[in-house]
Amino acid sequence: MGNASDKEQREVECLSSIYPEIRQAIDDRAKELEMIASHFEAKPSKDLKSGILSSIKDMEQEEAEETGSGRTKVEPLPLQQPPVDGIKPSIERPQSTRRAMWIGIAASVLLLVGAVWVYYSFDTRYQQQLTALEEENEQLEEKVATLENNYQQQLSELASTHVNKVNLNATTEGSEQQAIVFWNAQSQEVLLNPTGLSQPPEGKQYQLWALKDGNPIDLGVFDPDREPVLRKMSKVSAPDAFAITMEPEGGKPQPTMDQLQVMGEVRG
Amino acid sequence: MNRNSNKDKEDILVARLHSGDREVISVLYDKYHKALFGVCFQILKDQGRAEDALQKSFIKIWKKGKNYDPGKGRLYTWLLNITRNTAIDIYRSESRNKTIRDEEFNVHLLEHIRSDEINTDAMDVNEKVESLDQKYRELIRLSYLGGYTQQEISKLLKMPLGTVKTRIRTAMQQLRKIYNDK
Repeated sequence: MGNASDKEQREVECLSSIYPEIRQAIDDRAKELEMIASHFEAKPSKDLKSGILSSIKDMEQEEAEETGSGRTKVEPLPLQQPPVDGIKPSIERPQSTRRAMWIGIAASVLLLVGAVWVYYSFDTRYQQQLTALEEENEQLEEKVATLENNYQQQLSELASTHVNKVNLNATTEGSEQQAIVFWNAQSQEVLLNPTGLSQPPEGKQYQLWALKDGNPIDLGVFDPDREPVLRKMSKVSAPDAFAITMEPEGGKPQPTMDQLQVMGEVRG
Repeated sequence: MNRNSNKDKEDILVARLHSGDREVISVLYDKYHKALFGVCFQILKDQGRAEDALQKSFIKIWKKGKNYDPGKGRLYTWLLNITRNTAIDIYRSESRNKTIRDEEFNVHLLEHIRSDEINTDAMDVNEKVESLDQKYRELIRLSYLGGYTQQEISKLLKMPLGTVKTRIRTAMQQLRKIYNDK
């Protein structure tokens, strides 16, 4: 009784046949259980009984068919529809239901495998995109850091007390060309702001010169629109003045004096 | 009706059960279904599931009827045990879906049977149920329907074993009074 296992139950049954006291205790317990069950009585639906009886009937017929004929068992007939409405389906599942169940399980497994595959392929693709974006981001960060660094460096260079600002003004009447050179007397570095210069014609380039003791020193060619606001040019020591000429692309070893655009003296 | 004629009737029922007579289920249903359904309902706490349990139980009763041994206990007791075990099995299989481990199951079932949320709208509650004190009702449900030993109940309800014993005894006395010790 109760939750005892079959083995325990058999032991108790065996003992009870030997000891009448045990038998008595079991009987008492049984009577109490009966009394309690009566106490908790409740009513199920009215049509439950006919449902139970018809499913038992169905099972009886199935058994008769299985054991009755000696023929090899064919597909069992589907269960008869119970005659009364609201009847519970039979507990035993017909073969077709079972097959449908297996098909259902197989379909679920396939679906699951598919879902996992889709998940992983998407995952891989997104992973690749993510990696690419991360790399791009890293490159941008590096670039920003470099720019920031340059900017700070240029600012500190410009702010130095050793820096001379040299305004280069137009040398011909009516021209609005101008440029600015920052020359550091200590480091001898030359920074050029070429934004005041007009776009040179095709095949031409500007060239910056330093004049020292009457001799021109080539400080490099540049294009005003392609360069940053401040372009680092070649170093020079103790120049008297700076000048910019317009030269054929690539520049010349000596300045073409009639192509002089702007000029400015270093005030010492 | 005297005891002998009752006994005779039961013998006839048992004989029909042994022979696999389908019609005997109808008789047993009429006679015992309220009590058996009450057991299912106390364990499953749901009208529909309790009806499923009762249906399953009667199918088992019909299938196992040939093996019923009257020498080992009364027919009613046998029916009650089959029904109660079926209902507990159903409850257990439903709980398994909720991934409850075996050790936790007893506590789970206990909590379930303990809770007295009977949906009175869904069923025809027997007035007699209300006539028994709540604290006794819980204890006899646990010990007789849940199949717990008094030690287990004492441990699970954190109630001294002596109290459990006294209360179950009192509950049974109350019940006997209600049924005039019949």
